[in-house]
Amino acid sequence: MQAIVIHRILQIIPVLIGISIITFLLVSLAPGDPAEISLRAILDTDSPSPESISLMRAEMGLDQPLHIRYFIWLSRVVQGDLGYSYLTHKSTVYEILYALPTTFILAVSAMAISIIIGIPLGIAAAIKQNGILDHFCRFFSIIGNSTPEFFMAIVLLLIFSIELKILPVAGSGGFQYFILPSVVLAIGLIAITSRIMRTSMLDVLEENYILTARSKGLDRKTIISKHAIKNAMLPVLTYMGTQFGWLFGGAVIVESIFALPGLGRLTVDAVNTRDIMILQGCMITFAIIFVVINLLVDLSYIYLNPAIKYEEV
Amino acid sequence: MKRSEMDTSSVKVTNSFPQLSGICDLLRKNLTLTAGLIIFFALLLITVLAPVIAPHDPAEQDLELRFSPPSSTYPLGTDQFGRCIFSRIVYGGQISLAIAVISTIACVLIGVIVGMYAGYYGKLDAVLMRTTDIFLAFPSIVLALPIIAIVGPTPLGIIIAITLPGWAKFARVIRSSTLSVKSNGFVEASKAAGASDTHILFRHILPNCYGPIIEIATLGLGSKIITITSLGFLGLGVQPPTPEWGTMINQGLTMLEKAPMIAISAGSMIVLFVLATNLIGSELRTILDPRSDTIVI
Repeated sequence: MQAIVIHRILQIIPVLIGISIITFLLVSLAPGDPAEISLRAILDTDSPSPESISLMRAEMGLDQPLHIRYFIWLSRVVQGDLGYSYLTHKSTVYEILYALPTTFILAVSAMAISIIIGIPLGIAAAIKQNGILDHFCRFFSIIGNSTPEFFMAIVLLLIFSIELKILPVAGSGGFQYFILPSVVLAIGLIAITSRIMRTSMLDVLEENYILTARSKGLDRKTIISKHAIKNAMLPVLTYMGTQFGWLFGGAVIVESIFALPGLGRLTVDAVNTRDIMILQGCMITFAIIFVVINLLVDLSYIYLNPAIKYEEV
Repeated sequence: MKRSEMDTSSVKVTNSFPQLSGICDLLRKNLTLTAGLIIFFALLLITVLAPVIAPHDPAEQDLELRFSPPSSTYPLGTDQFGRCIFSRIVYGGQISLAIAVISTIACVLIGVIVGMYAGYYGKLDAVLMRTTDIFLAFPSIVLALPIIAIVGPTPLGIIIAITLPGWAKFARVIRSSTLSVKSNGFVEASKAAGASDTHILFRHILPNCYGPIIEIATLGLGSKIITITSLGFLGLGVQPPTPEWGTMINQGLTMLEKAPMIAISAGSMIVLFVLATNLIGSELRTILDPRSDTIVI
C-alpha cells in the first residue's frame, strides 16, 4: 500500500510540470510587457523610463530565449513570486490569498447543501425504485444538469430578489450574500449526487450480505438503515470529492453574477483588464487546487478500501 | 482523476448498437430518446431556417418602440434598442451551434488519434494519459479565458478556447474503448493474418468505437453550448450586435426588472438544447451498455 501511495504522489509531478508549461506559454503569448508592468507596480508610476524598462527586462531574463525564460520564470514561481497586478500594484499572491476564502466558503457551502439534499433524495429514490420520487429525482437530475449556472442564477434572482425581495441581488458582506450563489452551485451537484447515491444503493441492495440479512429475518428498515446506506456511501463520497474541483470552475460564473470577490471573479476581471500576472496566478491556483483535491480523494480511496488493486489509469 | 475514470469505465464496447432497420422500432419503444431527438432537430431546424421564421431583421432597431410588451408583430416584445426579441432568439442559435459543432468535430478528431494510439500502443499510453491529466486539471472555463485574452473573442478564438480544454475527455473515452476492442479475438486474428497496425486501427478498432464516440459527441455538444454561452454571458464570447444566446443573457441581466423576457427566453433555448443532447446521450449510453446507469455529466 505504501508503494501505491508513493506512486500516486509521484504521479502528480509530471502533471504539475505540464501545468506550469501551459500557464507559462499562455502568459508569454499574451499581449503586454511583464517588465513594464512590474516597474509600474514597483515605482508606482504609469510611465517608467525606457532605460529602466530595458534594465528590468534584462533582470527578469526577458531578453533570453523561450526555454531559458521558462526556467527563470519557474524558479520565481516556486519561490512564491507571481509578479504584481497591473492595476492595483499589489502582489499577485496577496490578491489570490485575499480572494481564496470567498471561493472556499462558496464551494464548501454548495457541497454541504448538495450532501444534505442529494443523498437522502438518492436513498429515497432507490428504496422505491420507479416510484413517484424516483421519477421526480430523475427529472430533476436531467433538468439540473441541462441548466447552465448563469441561467439558474437569473431564475433564482428573479424569484427571490426581484419578486419576493427576501435576498440581496449581489455584493458581499454577510451570510445572506452567500445563499443564492451556493444554492445555484449546489443544484447541479445535487442532480449528480442523487443519481449516484441511487445507483450505489441499488447495487448494494443486490449484494449477498443484504440477502443474508433478509433471510435472517431482519426487517427492511433495519437492513436499509444499518447495512445498505453505510456501504452505499463510499462511492458517493469519493465521487463528491472530485466534484469539489469542478465547483471551483463553476465559481467563475457564479461569482461574476453575484459580484462575490472570489478567485473566479478575480480571473474574469483579470481577463477583462488584461491583468496578465493575476491571470497566470489564478490559473496556477485553480490547477493546483484541482490536482491536490484529486490526490487527496485517491489517497483516501486507497486508505478506505485497502483491497483496491492499483491500476495505471 | 476519479471523475474521468468513472466516465470512461462506464463506456463498454458492445455490438448492440442498432442497425438502420431497427431504429424505427427503437424510437417507438424509447420515448425519452424520441423526445430528445425531436427537440434537437426542431431547434436545429429553427436555427437553420431563421431567415424564414424570424418576423424581423435581428439587427433592425426602432428606438421609438423600446421595451414594448409582446404583441402580434413582436411575439416576445422588444429590447432596449427596440429590436425584436423573438427574431434575435431565433437567430441567436446560429453562431453558438456552428461553433459547438466545429469544436466537437475537432475534439473527436484529436480524441480519436490520441485515444487510439494511447490504447493501442502501450508505450505511448503513459505519456499521452499524463498529458490529458494536465488539460483536465484546469476547469474548462479557466483554460478558455486566457486563450480568449490572447486570440480575442472572435469565432475562431472561441473555437480554439473550447477545443483545447475539451479534447482530453474524448481521448480518455476513446482510449478505454480501444483497450476493450483490442482484447477481442478478431484483432488477434487480423494481426496473425499480417494486417498492418494502421489497417487494424482504422478498419477494426475505430468502427467498433463509433457507439461511444457518438455518445460523448452528443453529450459534448451540450456542454460546449454551455461553455460558449457562458463566455458570451461573461462578455468574452461572441460580441454584440451579433445575436447570441449567452450575450443576450448578459445584456438582459442588467434589465432584469424592466424586460425579464430577454434573459428568460434566451436561457430557455439553451436549457432546451442541452436537455435534448443530455436525453439523447444518456439514452444512447443505456442502449450501448444496458448495465450502466445514466449519469449525465
